[in-house]
Amino acid sequence: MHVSTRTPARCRLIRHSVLLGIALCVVVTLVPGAATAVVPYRSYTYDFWGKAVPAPQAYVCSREIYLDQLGAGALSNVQDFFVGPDNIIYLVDTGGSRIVCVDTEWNVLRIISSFDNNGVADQLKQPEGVFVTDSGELYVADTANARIVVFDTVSFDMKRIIGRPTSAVEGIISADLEYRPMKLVVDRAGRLYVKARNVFDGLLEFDAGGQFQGFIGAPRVVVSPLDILWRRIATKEQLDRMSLLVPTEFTNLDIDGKGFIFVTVAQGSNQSHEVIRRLNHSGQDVLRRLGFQNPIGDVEYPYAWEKVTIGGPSALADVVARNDETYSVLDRRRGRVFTYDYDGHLLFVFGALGEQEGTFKEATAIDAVGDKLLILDRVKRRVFEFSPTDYARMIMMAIRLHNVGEYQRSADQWAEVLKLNANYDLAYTGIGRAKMQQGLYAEAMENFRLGNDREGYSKAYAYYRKEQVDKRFGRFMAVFIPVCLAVVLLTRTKLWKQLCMRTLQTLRRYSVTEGLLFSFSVLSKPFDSFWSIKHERKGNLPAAAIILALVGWTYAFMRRNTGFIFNTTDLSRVNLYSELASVLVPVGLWCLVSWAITTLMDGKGTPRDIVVYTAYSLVPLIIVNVPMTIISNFLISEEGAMYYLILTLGIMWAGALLFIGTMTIHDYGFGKAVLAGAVSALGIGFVLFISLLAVSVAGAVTAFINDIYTELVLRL
Amino acid sequence: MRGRSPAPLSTGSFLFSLLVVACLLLAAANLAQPLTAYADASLSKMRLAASNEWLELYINDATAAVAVREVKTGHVWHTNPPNWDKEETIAKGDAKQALGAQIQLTYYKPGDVEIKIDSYKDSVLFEQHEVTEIPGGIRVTYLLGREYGERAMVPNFISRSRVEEIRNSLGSQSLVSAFDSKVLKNYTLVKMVPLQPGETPLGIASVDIAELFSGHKLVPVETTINDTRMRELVRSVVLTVLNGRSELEGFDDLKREHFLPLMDKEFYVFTPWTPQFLLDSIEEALKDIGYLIEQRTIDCEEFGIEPPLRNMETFVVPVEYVLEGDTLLVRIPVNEVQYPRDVVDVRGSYGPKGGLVTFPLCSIRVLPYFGAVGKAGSGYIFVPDGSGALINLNNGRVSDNGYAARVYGKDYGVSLQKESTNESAQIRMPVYGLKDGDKAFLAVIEDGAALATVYADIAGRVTSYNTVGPAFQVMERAWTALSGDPTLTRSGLWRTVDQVAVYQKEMYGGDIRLRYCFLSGDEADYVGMARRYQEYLVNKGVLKRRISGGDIPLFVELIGGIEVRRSILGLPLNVVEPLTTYAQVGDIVDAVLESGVSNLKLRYTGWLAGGVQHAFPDRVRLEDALGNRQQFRVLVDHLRARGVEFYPDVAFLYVYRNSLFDGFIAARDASRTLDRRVAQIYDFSLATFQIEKDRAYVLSPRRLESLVDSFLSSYAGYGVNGISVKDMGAFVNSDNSEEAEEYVGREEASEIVAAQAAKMVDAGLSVMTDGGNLYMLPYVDAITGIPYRSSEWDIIDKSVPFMQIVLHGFIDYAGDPLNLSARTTESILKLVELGASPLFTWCYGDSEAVKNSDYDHFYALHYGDWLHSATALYAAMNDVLREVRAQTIIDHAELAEGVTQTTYANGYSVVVNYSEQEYEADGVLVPAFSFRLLKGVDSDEEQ
Repeated sequence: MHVSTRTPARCRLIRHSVLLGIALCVVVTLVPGAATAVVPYRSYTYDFWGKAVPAPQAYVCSREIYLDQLGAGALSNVQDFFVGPDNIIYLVDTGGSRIVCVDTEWNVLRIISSFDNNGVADQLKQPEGVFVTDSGELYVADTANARIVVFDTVSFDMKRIIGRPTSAVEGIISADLEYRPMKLVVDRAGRLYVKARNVFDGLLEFDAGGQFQGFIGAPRVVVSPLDILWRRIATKEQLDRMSLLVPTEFTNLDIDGKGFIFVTVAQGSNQSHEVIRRLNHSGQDVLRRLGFQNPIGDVEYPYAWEKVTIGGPSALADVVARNDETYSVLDRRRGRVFTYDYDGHLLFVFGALGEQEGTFKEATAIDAVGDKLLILDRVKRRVFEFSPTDYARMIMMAIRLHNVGEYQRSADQWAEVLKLNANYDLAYTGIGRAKMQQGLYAEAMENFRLGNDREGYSKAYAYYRKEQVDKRFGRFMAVFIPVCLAVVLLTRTKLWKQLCMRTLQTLRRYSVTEGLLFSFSVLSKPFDSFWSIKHERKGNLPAAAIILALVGWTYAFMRRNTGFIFNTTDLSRVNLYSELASVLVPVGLWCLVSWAITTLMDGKGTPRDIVVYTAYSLVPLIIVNVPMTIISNFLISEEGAMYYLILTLGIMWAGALLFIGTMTIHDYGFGKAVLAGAVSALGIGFVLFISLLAVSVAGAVTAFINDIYTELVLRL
Repeated sequence: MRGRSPAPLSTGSFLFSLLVVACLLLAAANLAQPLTAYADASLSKMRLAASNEWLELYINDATAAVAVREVKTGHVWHTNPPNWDKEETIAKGDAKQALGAQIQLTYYKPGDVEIKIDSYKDSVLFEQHEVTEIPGGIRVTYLLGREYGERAMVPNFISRSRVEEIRNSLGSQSLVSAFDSKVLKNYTLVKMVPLQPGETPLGIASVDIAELFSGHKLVPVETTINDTRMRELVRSVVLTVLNGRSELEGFDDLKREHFLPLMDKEFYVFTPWTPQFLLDSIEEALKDIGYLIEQRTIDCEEFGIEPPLRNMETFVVPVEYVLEGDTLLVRIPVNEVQYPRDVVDVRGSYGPKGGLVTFPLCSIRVLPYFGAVGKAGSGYIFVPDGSGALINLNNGRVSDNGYAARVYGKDYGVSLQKESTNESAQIRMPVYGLKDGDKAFLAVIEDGAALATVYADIAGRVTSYNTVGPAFQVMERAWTALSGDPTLTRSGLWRTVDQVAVYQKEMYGGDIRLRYCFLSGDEADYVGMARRYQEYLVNKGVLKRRISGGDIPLFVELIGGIEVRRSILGLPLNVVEPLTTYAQVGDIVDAVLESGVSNLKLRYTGWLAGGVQHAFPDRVRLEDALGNRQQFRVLVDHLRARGVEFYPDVAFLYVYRNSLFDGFIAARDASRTLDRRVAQIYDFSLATFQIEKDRAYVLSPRRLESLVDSFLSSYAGYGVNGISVKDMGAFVNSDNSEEAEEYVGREEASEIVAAQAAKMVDAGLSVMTDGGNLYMLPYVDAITGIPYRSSEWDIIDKSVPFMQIVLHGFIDYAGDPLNLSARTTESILKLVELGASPLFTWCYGDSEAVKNSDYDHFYALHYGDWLHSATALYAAMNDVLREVRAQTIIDHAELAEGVTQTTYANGYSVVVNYSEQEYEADGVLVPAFSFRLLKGVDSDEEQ
């Protein structure tokens, strides 16, 4: 068997103590230990298209604190906690009706449950929230006692009690309100903001003297038209049974360094894009939402009614304001933490539900100690300490450097981030911003493009374009003007005119090319041209087919080649066939329905006429969209209005031609043409409805056959 | 206390001295006995069944509990905790009785009702087990499930002549009187006499007794009975006849001929007023005199009624315990296990009478309480989760779930996946163990590993014992949806009506073999377990030394091509984007070698046509986007000249592309799940856990052999002498096709995979794999993706490097790619602690190439970003680890929180400091986040 030389207590050093510090520095910045191999969750961010893309781990669990083993007895129901100044942690033991103070090493410093209330022994009763000011005041939401108790954090003596809010104005506070303060924050000026149970008017604001001032931040009630309709027609009994249209309740709140109050809104709200709010003193939501998606937690999620284990949007339980104006929110539904920057860009996601180290059963509250995050799990009765990995540290560092104006160092940091995660759009944007500061517009543009930041791209491009014009305008003109002159002179020559005539004659010889040339006359003289389509058999079907194909191609071309600023399609997914179909199917439907309708309405047009005039009417789309697509590459977003206007004009032009065509071909008056158009539109809707029905019936039939087959195979 | 008078004190001291004397006397008496016989009180009810130089095997014939005593140390290991009936305080009823069981079965009744039975409650208590001697040990054959129903052996009618016959056969007078008092006392002797004209017999409602009894009436013989009781007796007679003939539905069907056998004799009728609680003792008494089913049948036939039916739900399971050297081998020959299959449902309990029913026996849990330790124990349970994990005995985590994990992870050939939530480490080595004080055992699952699930639990949750043991899925079972999309998730809790369970057609036909090894003293810890397992693997020829020393390897994986979607002329096409061409591989290798790396193991993934998710590999098809055949050959020659080990990666177990004429037809060559669908794996959304797209088909193991053959014959022409088969060491999938000849069970599949690896070795290839499942160990030279830790389930206290202790010095191994994991210092420190080599996954081109593709999980590939730091790291690690590369680990300990020491056989040890503080002890200083190589003071002598 093996030699037992266990635990060589005395060892002597034989090799130079490997200067690992240096060796490792090369590879990584030194970071306190963090779990590596099996992290039970995978990290991700959302890309421009709202798809979750993988990312390196940002935070990993570095420690688990079993609350029952702190030495403060069983903590029966810890609802919340707060990290005060000096990093003292205040645990709110609601079940035990006490506040347990611990230091960063989780040694119990103090337990507050009973106190001396002006000579009378008093006790906390099921407190649910706590806040500590920088000036050393501990505010406890003594929930079941319907009051807020303020302690001194040095002596832990009671200083004062803020009781039930009273208002001089009647009706602000309902007399039968069961006042249950739950969460609270205090700003620098000593104003106290309280979230109370069953209060839907927002946060209660108390002044520094404890006097109730009013409500702030009441979430707006958005009533949908459908709700209003239902309420009109419902009986009184039904109305009573309907849930009240009350504003949603806040779940938790935090205050940031500038005195803004972050609040999270319970899931189930009808303002789902505003589940995180940043309130100013007057209660307005000033949260910036400039990311690809609004800061709402998960962007992709299965609906609650789908057959999945966890459905529904993120249910945000708590929020913590962090350094550099970033903030993290805690999703109770999937046990995830989402961290956003000041502008609302999603930085990273971590956390999961589960039964492994660093996973939650019911994540309840979140707070930060330095760059670590503490997460309380009420059911597991643990606090999890999460430490940032190098990746998260680099991101935070890059943001900080940017905030203090060190753009170049910030860009360098972002470049390091990119080495770790090439999927990280924000890093490209960060580099782009720095490049722009340095005047490297072309590089900035490329980075903004990779980061899918169209606004940044547009700004960089504006400078780039100006630079290019400044640099090249003289040279351009030196070529352009002579060329123009030469062309003008050339067209004046006889030879040129003969050449043109001959070419035209050659083209007219073939019916297809002649048909195509005819489209120019449609554009210039629509009434005459449509008349001649009908009566002189001008235009032909092959030309019409080519025009329609060109329209389809135009749309594919637009989708692919529109300038980056105006183009939000995923270029790798552009599909010519579906673009063609998206043109041909509506046109085909129009022709079919229009023919059916006009036949009933004494229209004179034959099917051939209808196809031909419809195709010719769409020519403006080609001659407007193709040049505009090319031009869009040279526009910035401020010029977008013009771009969109011209595109719209093109569509209107085509619409007008279609209308004129309808009048002329079918020999209709104005009113009848309008009627025919409207009825055709209705008819198209009807056809679509029938085909949808047919498709769904066919789907049901196949599903039925499939089910029968499965059942036969499995049951027999 | 103070008020106490001195008198009781003196009484107390008197009693005490009395006790001392008694003890001395007892001790003297004990000394007189042979030391071996009752060295342990827990063996007192057991008999010695087998023994050898190292071990003694004991069995209790009454309870079938088995114990093993180590001769040298006297440690005793029980299959069931002795005195469980007294010590168990948490489990009640059936759960408590389960503690007496050696095996537990899970089977399903029609309608998918799960039934758990165990060898104690359902066999031993009915005395339905049989102990026989076999060479070197014993065999216990259990009949589980009561053979006949309760009181089925108590006859309702028995004729006077038969009673006489039985009494005469008893022999001794005491038996006869016992029979009379216990059994016959509860019977009444009756006979039929003709009715007097005009007499109406005592009747019962709704039956014409006079007609049925053919004008007779029942009268007692030699006794008198009042009318009420007589009426009860008549009713009992009628009911017995009615129930005794299965063709009769009710009273209306009764005819006079049914009662003819009762007419001409005196017979005993069981008195219906006998108290219910006596029935058991009557049956017991009958059993004691040998009145069993044969006798019972005679008595039934005499009265024209049917003998009692055997229960359908009975199972036969033999368990063998054999001493082999210093180990105990427990074997269940599964081909001798019997379960009710297509049995006739005579009573129609599960459908029409006479229909065939099957009770699929799905899982056998073997020795779940072997070595179980109660609340007094101190030590830990070892489970092989990931690198290995310890669960401290009585760790008090009673609100967390117990440990349960399938060996080799999930089988993708059983049912379609629906969701993918959390990440967890797999079991790579089928072992487990338990340490209690200075003794420990290690159990090795020798046969049936691929079917095993390892369970472990602490005291205080379900029972009062800390337990560890395996269960074997001898028959797979899965839910399937009868309608709708089969991949839509339904939570396990919501069993909706349109789901049915499907079962494997055949039961696993091989053996289940568990080998228990025993450790004591210093060896009784996880290091000892690992070293014992290593010794076992070496002796079996599984583990071979493939390392002689020198520099540690640097593992580099290069990604060749990836498939991306491109819109070309407006048409969306999938094209292969080259990330590292054949020529570029050489460039990277040169750059790495130039920076001072001498031992490079190079894996090349995505070099075949199609890139990473390559085409069906029935032959070598090079990817045009990466280069041509000539360039590949140049590369191979170049690598050989530079001494680089080259492992091109091929995925054999999964088929990513299915085009026409590629030799793969999904319906024919892919595995089938239990519900007869083609087995597939999917990509899942990171955010929603739902299926995003199909990734690959699961190749049937039956197709694997011909595929590998044809690939290898083509591969030989390229002159490469290495091959990487990532998935073969990480996955085992069965094929649950309905046809018996296409079906491949999981255990067999693991053997097929191993056979293919053997074939590669025979072809002169060195083999690299991922994960490192046990069956691949005899064939591989290098393993990547070896777990550093366990899944850290809540019940687990600590991860330990069990797997590394077993493998170090035999096979080179690396973890996950450093550039793609959370790149922390600890990751590197962990490598040093575990003696692992670094792995990087790189490509030549820019990392951005993977953006917006299906390969965006390769988010940090560009080698230029990493080369410098990787080679620097390699140099630092090599400086330390090259000294111990070919050495086995002989100890692993945590010196302080966050400081570990790994000691090697040559006396060198590596101290790793994970903490923020520098570590200093005995003159050794290890800076924070750093490591040091030490040499033991007196190790030179030992070498």
